Amino acid sequence: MIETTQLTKRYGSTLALDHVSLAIQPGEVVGLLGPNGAGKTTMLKILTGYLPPTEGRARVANLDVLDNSIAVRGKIGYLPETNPLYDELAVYESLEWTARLRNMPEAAIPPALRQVIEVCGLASVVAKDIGHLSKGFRQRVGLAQAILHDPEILILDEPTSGLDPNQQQEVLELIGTLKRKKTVLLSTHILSEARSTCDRVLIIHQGKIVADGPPDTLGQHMTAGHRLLLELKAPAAAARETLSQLPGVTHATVQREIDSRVVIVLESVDTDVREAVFDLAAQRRWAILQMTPERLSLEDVFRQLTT
Amino acid sequence: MNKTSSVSDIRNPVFLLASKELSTLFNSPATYVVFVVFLLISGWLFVTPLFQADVSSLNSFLQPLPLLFTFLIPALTMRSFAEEFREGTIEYLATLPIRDYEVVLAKYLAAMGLLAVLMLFTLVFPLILLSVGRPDIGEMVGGYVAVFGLGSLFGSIGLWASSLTRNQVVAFIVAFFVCFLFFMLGRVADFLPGVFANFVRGLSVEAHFEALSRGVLDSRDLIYWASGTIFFLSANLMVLHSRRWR
Repeated sequence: MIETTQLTKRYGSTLALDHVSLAIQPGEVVGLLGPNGAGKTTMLKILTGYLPPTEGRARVANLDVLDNSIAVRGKIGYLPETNPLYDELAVYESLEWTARLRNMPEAAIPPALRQVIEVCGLASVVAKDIGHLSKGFRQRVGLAQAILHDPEILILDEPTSGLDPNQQQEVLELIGTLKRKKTVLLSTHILSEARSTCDRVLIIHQGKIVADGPPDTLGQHMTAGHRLLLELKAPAAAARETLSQLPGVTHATVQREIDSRVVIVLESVDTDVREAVFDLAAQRRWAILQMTPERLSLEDVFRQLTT
Repeated sequence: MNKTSSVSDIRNPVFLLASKELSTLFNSPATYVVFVVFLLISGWLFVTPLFQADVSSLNSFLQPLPLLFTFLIPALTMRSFAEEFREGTIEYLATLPIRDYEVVLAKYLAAMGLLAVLMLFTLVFPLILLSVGRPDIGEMVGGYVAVFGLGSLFGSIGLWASSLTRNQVVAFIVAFFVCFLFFMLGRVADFLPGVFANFVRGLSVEAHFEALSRGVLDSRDLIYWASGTIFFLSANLMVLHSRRWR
């Protein structure tokens, strides 16, 4: 549904996107995460046909964005980061105007307008000029314009940017209602937003995709090996010394000692050491109070990859 | 005014965009300021010789128009693209399924529509002449064709200048400078040698404007206005394309 091959964009000597290849399947809600200036907006602008790539190809709805720019633009709904709106138009007027510019069939326009006004909660401001709306309502108008023509693909650039927590929640719930019905690609740097809304996240840093996977399991793929959190009833120094000598263990670190208990973090490469730890503890008669594989959170992964 | 029905019957994207552009222009106080200033000046230009010299002709109103339009038209067109760039709404337009040339054409039609409304007010001058004397109808028709030819060329220059920048004042200054250059070419030609002088004079707006405003409908004049307009609208389109490639 969305596919890029070696997509590259240069602004003069600045490399904004560096040979990015990815594929997003129909019905997926994908979050594009990255710090400011990572290349998120550039990627979205290329997919919407607003910017051409310097190298590489991008296909949206099985159409090349350069060769079939008008057809691609007809199939996507786009909310730009700055949410540009005509302040002098009333909300209804702006939506109606957008519907006609999108060449929607005459008969389909009134029901589509009624639906987006209801879904986006715009009924109370429908006759107001956009210039008189709060930031939250402006964002809803932008979103309403993006979904008005029932597009196959939605591209949303920081859809909750500048909104208060309640408004953010409302917008995220709205995006949630589109799950499975539409392919959604949204950019954000709010990690909780990506975790709660997206099936999959792509972390972009310095123009490259540096991680790709479901938000709750991304940490698993990110750790080079295994981390095991171990709580034992044992002398700290002896436990650390013996455990560090187990085959596959690279590091054994005492995290804390509490009375006769010790918390140790074991790191290993490509080896699951849990069985060996159990055998050793049984042999030494150390009671195992806790043995938990540690995973990196999305925040940890993000920090690790983008700093 | 019922804001919900203004675009209800228009389907063509060019006319949809043009009607919205016109409505934006008429919502701007600056448009009315320009209208009032122009009508006051043109009214004074028309009335003074009519009563002082007892001559029933539009010439006193038409002759200063090329100079007057070097200010007026850039003032009416300066916001067209500059404001879209400043507000970021160009991204909204550029990601709708409409083509760049449709946007340029729509802005041009809106500028011409605005000029038509403005010139509608000046129709009172020929009506006064018809009621007090026997003016040359052909000359008056030719005069208005010349006004629209001039407005078309300067309008396309104004749109092109507006597409170069996000600052309306800069757009006005660039458009004024280029329009003034076209106005001055005829005078500059007097100081140039032979063939070169004729070529430069041929590019000047004054020669083509004067011929038409005398009621002489020459296809060369019409081609001049049309080709000049097409040249600057094409330049406008190229600027829009080049902004995307940056």
